[in-house]
Amino acid sequence: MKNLLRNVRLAVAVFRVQAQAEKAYLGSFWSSTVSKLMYNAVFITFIDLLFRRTGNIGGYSKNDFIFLLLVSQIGWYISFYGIFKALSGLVETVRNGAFDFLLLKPVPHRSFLYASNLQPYDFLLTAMPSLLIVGSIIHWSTLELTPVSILLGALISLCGIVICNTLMFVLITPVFKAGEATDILNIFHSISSAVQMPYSKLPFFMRIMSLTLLPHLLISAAATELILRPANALWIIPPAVLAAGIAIVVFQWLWRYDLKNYTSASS
Amino acid sequence: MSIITASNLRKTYRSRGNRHIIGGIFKPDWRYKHAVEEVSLVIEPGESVAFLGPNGAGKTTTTKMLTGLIYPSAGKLKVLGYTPFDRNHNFLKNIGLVMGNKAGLNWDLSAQQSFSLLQKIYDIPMSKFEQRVEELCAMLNVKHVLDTQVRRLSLGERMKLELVGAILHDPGILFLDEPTIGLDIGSKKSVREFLRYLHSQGKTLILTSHDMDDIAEVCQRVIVINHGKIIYDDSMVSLNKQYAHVRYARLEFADKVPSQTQLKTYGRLVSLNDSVAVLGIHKSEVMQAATKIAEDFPLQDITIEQVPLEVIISDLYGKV
Repeated sequence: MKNLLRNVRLAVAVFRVQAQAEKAYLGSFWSSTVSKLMYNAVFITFIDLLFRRTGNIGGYSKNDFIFLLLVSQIGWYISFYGIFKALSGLVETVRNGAFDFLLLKPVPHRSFLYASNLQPYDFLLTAMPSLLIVGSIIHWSTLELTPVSILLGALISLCGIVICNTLMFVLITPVFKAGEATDILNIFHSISSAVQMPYSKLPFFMRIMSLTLLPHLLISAAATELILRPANALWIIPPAVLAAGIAIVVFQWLWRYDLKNYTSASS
Repeated sequence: MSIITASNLRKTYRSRGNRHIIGGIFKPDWRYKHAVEEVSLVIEPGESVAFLGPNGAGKTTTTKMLTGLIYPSAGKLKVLGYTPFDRNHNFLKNIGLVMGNKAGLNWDLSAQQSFSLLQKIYDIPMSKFEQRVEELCAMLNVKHVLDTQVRRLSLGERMKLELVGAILHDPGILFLDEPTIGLDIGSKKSVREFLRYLHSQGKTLILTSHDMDDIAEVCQRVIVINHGKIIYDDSMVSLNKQYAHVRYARLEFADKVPSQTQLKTYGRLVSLNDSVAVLGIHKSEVMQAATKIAEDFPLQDITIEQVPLEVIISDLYGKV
């Protein structure tokens, strides 16, 4: 319990420090904000055009699709700021040798790594405008949301985030020995794009892929399915939770393996 | 109890030597580099030890094994009674590391902000933390830049603050890897004084440096590593004693410079550049030799000194 309280205090301190570091460069976020707004504008226009010809795609109405966009955006931002940024930070610190300093601190190293790469201001300034705009277009009253369905959707999203984290970590493993994995990180953008599709209509092999190589399908499409139609989508939960459990075990093992083979940048 | 005990430490790196990528997948040509081979050493609390060796000798690899950053390929190692690679928090709270060409402090923050985070990481009581920051920064004359973003500091100021950050939690052992690299003479002097102060407070210092003045002014014991093996491990006093019978005579000639053959008749010719020659002569004969040279050749200047530490160490590097 004492350790847990200490770790929480540390996490808050690290978060604060990160926010302080970001404040030094607050003027640089405008480009990300603009690009996210433009992306959403284009996608919403696309949905609008699509649904002029039909009222239903894969069992989803236009409103459902925009809700799917919102859920996938939330999931993307969480995985981008929670995973991608942390692993980018990890690759950079391994390359320049600063990772040594992390390993020598008496902290839970993985948690510290992730916490120290969170960018709260970036997240707020970049994500919030887009999410608020998308959220304002949705007709919330027509969606049959319940607290249980939202929780189930959040659970599946979390499973997808855990799998995504392990997948990305597996891919950047070369950095511990070879000292470089920057390009590999870009695969995040491929695996996180084009995931706005009705999960139940996906072919079987795509659903298997969602548990391994395309976890963003779980984060967005599966989560949306569970939130909108929980009765028809409960079957997603057991394989997703199992896959996430395996991902956690793999991650733990791989972290220990990588540190054992860590070569450390030369002085 | 010894603070560091290492027995037959080894570190071997494996890499692929294949020229062809496709061929290399099926028939890998593994190359092995033995960075450290059978290093054994014992360091007692309160010692100040220099790790010396040419580039690629294995000094930094050894230091990194001692701090737990790298996992040894073989051998036994205990530091403060812990296995470093286990990264026990009590172990980590008792060591500090400074690396001359790597930044431990957050580049985008001021040192004070980074220190505040360190206070929480190392659970330093606030009153003790404030006192230590005050004291250490005053000693190194960096109080005035505590609130400046680290990226805006000069190298000397940054290094001093890195030192403060590494010692803030009052570790028993401090590992220093080239702490004065790139610093001006004044900053080097401050850093060395500070290290001597830390040593006087009972800290164990393990210093890796190519700057012989760092070694001479801070360390009492020298461990020389070459090709991954320890080739010398003894006190500075013993090291200097080995060359105590030799003196270097630095001779600056006015116009006519003797030839190498002529100079060798007076002693061992160490170097001859333009009009300056350095001879190694037994100390009982140096005055006589100097007098003879002055009679035979027009001398502009003569300096007699003990064998420089660089030369002693360089001689040791040649022994494997």
